[in-house]
Amino acid sequence: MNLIKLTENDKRLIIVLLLLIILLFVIVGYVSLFIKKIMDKQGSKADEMLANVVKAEYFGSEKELVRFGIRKNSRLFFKEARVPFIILCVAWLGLLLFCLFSGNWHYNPLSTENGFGTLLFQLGPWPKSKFFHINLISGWPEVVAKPHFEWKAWFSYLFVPANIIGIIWYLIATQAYIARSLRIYKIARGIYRKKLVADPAPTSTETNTNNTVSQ
Amino acid sequence: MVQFFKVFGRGVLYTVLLPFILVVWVLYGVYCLIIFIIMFIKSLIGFFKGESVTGETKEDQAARKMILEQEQAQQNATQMMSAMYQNVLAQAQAQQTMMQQNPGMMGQQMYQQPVPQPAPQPATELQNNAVFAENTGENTDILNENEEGGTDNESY
Repeated sequence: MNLIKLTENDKRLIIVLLLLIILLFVIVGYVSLFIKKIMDKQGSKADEMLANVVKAEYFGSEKELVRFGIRKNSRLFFKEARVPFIILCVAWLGLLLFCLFSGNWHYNPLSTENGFGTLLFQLGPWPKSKFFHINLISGWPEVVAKPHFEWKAWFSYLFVPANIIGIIWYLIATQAYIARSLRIYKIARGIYRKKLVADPAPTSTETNTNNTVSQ
Repeated sequence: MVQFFKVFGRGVLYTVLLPFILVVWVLYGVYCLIIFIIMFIKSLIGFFKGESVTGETKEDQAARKMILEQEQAQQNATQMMSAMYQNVLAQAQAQQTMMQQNPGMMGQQMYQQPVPQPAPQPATELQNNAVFAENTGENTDILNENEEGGTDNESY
């Protein structure tokens, strides 16, 4: 029977890999907590949207309140997503005009010759070695080209950042929409569904909404 | 240490769920794009009608009106209560001032006020007999015997 023999280097590599995996999970955990806090803050906007109709007891059922909340949420999303949408529209309209005036309809804004790729490190193939019959990365790749400025890539220096900003801004607005929707459902459930068992002590973010619900 | 394991567990959970979260996020992005296009068309129509898509809705306006009416009704009720209280206070103060100025009036007022007397009870036969006996000087033992009998009755 052949036993697996581990050298000192192999043991160190395994320990480092395990620590990196643990660190990765811990980072993801903290990032998720951060995102949850942001979503709670974004969801609190729903309380402002529904405050008047809840105080005046305008709606008689959960369904009506949810429907109104979704309508208000859509309006607020339209208001928030206008700017990133305009940025994306202007960027793509600019690309259309650039291709029209340059006559090059095969222009690639991410190209490493005349695109945004000129501002990034260009790397060669990653060196690999066998580790228990598995090909694993065993070092850093060779740098083929360093970041440099190319005049002919001027349009991509505007187009690509505009797209990145627009897409990220739009996704944040979408996340806010999701957070507010969840909050609307929670508020409607809290007001119209009767519970005989007392709720547990609210957290600091829920204190205001609990006060509203109890009214 | 427990907090660390909680965060670690949360990290493992979200790492496993990340692809599904991203798919849901992208799908919501597409859904929100459709909502944006619909709201854009509504805003264009509203622009020519003179309405704003981002302003207050009819329900908001009606709810605000209802809240104002409720607050006004409350204010009116409070004002009425306050006026009534002021009135009662003024009356009490006036009476006090009058009493201070005319202290003799206080005694007269007390004398003039009738002292409430207990209502006269209908006389019983025994009482009538006692009065008759007193007036005539007859034996009143029968009164005592009846009382004793009454006591015997009460014993059980």
